[in-house]
Amino acid sequence: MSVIVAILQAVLLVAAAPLVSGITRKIRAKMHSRTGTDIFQDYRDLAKLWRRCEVREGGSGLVSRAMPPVFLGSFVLIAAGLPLFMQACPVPILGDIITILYLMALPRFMFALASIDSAGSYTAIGGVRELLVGVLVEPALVLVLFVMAVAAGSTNTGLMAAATGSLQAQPLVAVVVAGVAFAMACYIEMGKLPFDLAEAEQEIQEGPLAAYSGPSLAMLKLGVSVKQLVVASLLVALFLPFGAAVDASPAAVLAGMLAYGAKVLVVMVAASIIENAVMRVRYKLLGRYTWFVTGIALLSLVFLVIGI
Amino acid sequence: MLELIFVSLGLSCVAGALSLVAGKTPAASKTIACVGGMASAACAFIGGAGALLGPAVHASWAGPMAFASFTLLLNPLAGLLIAVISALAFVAWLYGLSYFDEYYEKGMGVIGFFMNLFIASMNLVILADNAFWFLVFFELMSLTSYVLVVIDQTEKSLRGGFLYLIMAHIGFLMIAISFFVMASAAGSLEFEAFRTSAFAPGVATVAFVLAFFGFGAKAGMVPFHSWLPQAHPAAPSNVSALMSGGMIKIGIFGICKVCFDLLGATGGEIGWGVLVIIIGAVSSVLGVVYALGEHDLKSLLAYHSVENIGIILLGVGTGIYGWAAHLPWLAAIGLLAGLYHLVNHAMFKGLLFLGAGSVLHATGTRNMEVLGGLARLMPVTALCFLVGSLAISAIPPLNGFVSEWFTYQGLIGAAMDGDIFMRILFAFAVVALAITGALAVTCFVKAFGVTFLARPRSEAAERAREVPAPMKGAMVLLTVACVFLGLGAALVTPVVDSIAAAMLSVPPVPAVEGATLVSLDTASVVSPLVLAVLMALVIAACALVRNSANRAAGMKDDPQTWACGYQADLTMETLASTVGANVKNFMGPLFAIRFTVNRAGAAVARLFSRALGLEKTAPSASKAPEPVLSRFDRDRTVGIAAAPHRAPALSHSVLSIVSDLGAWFSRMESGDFRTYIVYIVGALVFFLALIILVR
Amino acid sequence: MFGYPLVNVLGACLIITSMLVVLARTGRAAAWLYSLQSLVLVAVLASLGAVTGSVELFTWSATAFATKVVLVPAILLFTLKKIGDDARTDLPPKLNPMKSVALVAVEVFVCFVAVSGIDLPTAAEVRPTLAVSLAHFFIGLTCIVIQRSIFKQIFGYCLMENGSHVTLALLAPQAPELVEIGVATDAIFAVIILAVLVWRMARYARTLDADDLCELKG
Repeated sequence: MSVIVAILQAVLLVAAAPLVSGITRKIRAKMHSRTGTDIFQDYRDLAKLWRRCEVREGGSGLVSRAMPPVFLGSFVLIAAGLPLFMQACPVPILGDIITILYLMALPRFMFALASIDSAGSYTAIGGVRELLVGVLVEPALVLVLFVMAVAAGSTNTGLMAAATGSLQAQPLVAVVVAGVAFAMACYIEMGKLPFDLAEAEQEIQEGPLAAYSGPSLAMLKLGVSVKQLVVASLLVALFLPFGAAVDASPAAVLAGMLAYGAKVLVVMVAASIIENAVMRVRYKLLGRYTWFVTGIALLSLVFLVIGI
Repeated sequence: MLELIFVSLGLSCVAGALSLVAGKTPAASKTIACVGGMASAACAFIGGAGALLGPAVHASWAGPMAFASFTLLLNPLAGLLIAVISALAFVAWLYGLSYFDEYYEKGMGVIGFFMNLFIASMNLVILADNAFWFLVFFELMSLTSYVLVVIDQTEKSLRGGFLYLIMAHIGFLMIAISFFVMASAAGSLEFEAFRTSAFAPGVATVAFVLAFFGFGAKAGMVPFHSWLPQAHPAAPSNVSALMSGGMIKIGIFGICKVCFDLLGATGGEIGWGVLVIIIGAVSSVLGVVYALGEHDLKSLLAYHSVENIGIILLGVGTGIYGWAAHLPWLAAIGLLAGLYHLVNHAMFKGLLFLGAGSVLHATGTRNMEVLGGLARLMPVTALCFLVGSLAISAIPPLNGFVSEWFTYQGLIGAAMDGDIFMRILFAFAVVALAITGALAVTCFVKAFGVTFLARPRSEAAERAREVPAPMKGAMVLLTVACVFLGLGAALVTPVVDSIAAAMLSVPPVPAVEGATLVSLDTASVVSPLVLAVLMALVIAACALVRNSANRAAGMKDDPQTWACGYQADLTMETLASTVGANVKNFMGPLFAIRFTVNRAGAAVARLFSRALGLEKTAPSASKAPEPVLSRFDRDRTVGIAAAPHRAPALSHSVLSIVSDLGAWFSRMESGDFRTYIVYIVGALVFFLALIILVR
Repeated sequence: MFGYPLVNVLGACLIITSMLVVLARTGRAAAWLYSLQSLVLVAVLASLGAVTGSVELFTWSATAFATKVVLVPAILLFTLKKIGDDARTDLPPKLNPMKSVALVAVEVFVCFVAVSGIDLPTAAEVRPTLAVSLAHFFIGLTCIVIQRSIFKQIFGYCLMENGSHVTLALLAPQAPELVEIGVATDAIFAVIILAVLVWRMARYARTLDADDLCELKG
């Protein structure tokens, strides 16, 4: 049963990612007083790219070819293991927070490597920035996950979700502050404005994505959308597990799926509203924002230790 | 099993001696040394592996000295270390069959002799069970490796070797004092006597701290790490692999042996564990941050050794903390993580050093800034280096991930039952480990990408060809070992677990169930094998789908890189300094520490070399040169009327001290009321705390 | 969820709102956030009164509502209006946000360690709240030290005042009403005097920047 849920989660996330990014595009258009495209436009864009002939750049090798499948595949695998529909991991092997963190390091590794491979300067700038964003966000993410692990008594995300859902995770305010810090850290990780430094369209012309075309570009764009959805899902799974199924009966799982869909939609709509209201942060000032989020995570650690 | 090791020692000595004798004919000397070395390493490997699970074997002979009998002990920990070092030695000798061709005129016979002696002395250090013989073989190990470090006889390698020798002897001194402290309390130099006697807590702490810093200097932990990036790159690459992968592990072996084995009867203190964890966390972060500033491939790898020693110390520290706090699961998991990472690091660091050696062999340079595009010209080396990079960045499902997973579980598990200070400490350690992981990813993207990817940036890089078969074979062997230690973690973990449990004298914790690794206290599982299968399936599925779309729509090759409308040229490629500059932008303060520490280290080295008369410059150069006095200073110190530009030395130095102190105090009196508020409150809090403490 | 855990949760909210006051960018935002923080303070006092069954604490919370939630922010907003455009009141603090947050966290932790050895008359479970209230003294001090605009430094003083108020309530819940009247009077009069000083400085020196004001001599 849990294997079916895992596969369902993975398929649903991949299928819904273009829809979510389409909704984001629509909100952006509305906020800019335009009509904008249909919310299903991203599906058509991907299909069009899929049919195009791909151009391989001179100088790029196996690493560039391998990057889009590795990127998409890693995030699909993470999606299969998160406690989204149930308050337990469908595949416990994929559900440990350390495994998830380091599985997210693989696509970042390959993304940056491919950006260096293409021998262009704009792509390399994007790749290096992606690495640095990863380095700066890591302390905040890990500190929050540490607080949650100690509060819930386990490093398994399913058990954490169950503890939060039944309000067993003590102490309470520490978990809430940790949730706020995690939301901010996830927003930075998602790479939405003001933090979309790796693919700053106006600045470095899409960064590493500029080296790809045709089906590879389609897969990479899909991968980036899936990554944003997976990071938002991680926030929802750990800190907003209310409504997810507590047992494995099909009715409860279905209800959990609907609840998850609603929650993640709310999170993504909020994220896109924030995204379209700000401008990109200057790269060299990125440290201030990430260290601020780390400060809040530190506050949640102090609350945990004190016992509030 | 002990007999096999004796055979191996004998083979080493014979091979070394014969190779020295045949020194006039370098080719023959190399072949004798390499083949003899491989045979010796194979024997030692089988001997060490055989001792992994079995009971400890003790052997003793009356030595030439009356106070020290020649005692050897082959327990599971020693078996593990011998197996690891022999595996590396085997691969290093195999590699040397082609690599040493470059060293013919540097003295092949000397290399063969000293390298064999080095490996034999490392094995004897691990086996020695008597303080005197331990120290003798430890010193032999340092001396033989010194010769190998300076074999190049360039200015840089001589300086590196000298610094290495000083640090090795500082370590030796601290270890010797620690052993003598224990020997005077126990009454004999035998380790067996140390084991059975329970020391007073103060004596035990003194012995442990001295031994920790002494062995730590050998292992290359902060603050004794400055010799690593100067000594390891100077040696031949396979010797660097052996030193980085093998010799610094002897430092860890020493710490574990002193703490759990020799001081086992006394029991430990929690403070020891805290000290080890703090130094481990600081070493790991500083090591990787400094690696990011390097553009020499081998210096970068040497700094990463500092980082990984820090990670091993985090695991060992958790083990010491758990043992002292009587938490058996924690002690076992911590030690398991530390020992597993020790094995993993030996494998992937050896692989990376051999890869760097191949690059050096093919292009003649280690400078990453002028390389590039080597992946097309040296595909096997590139693939092996990529696997090594993925392993050291702890990417699942390879071996680095498994040992770091265990380390995290140990640290988080310790925080779950700790008190408030311990929770803060373990939070800090977990964050340090996470930052290290992210920075290691950055560093190895840089190392692999700048060296192997994009296009060649110089003549040297364009001339590169794939390396000969023995070197390829050595790298492939280590790659297979890395992959096996990762995917087969379910097979390796019980062995390491039993070794850890044997050292702690507790029953082994259940850490494996079928193909999954289990962490009980944190209620979590992972399975590298299943993870690998899933990853391969999903990624292959995505790749197949994409490739079929490519076949349907067609593919074209464009020789030009798209540079957004510009003509792409070689100056647009990424260099190591690009990544380094970005990191320094955000992590500036950490680099400032290195500057201060390096200056201090250089000052110490200068003191020594001047004391030994090696420096030619006159001692008066050490005083500050005559300062150019500003008019204000001159009028103040010497008087307004017709003052000469030189003040008398004594009054000048007194006056300059006073004016420096005045300048410092004037900075403290900033004139801003807010700083005064801070001073007042600070003084208030200080006195309140004093009252509470005194009460 | 009621009882002592509620007091602790409200104590944590106190920290969060104080931090927001310290980080606030404009003077108006700081005033409204201070009002919110005082509301949380009132809730702490009320819940403490409910838990210990002390009637005095309820009257305390009522008077605190009148003075701290309504009167003090009103006085400060009025002052802001009177200063008008004479001087810039919205200057950025000296310490960047991350360091301020980290400093607050360290202060809370240190105060918790300091109070671990104290026996409370009420109960041991509200010890975290005692640490929070003690930390408010230092948080207020932090606000005074890092702010450049002297208008915002008034909020630092008010935070210290709030902290001592909660400490008093925790350590002596049965204290008579006279104490409360004394505390309230002290708060209001101090704020009035500070506000008058700030207004006059704005009129004559035309600046509220503490760095510039340190240059004033004689």
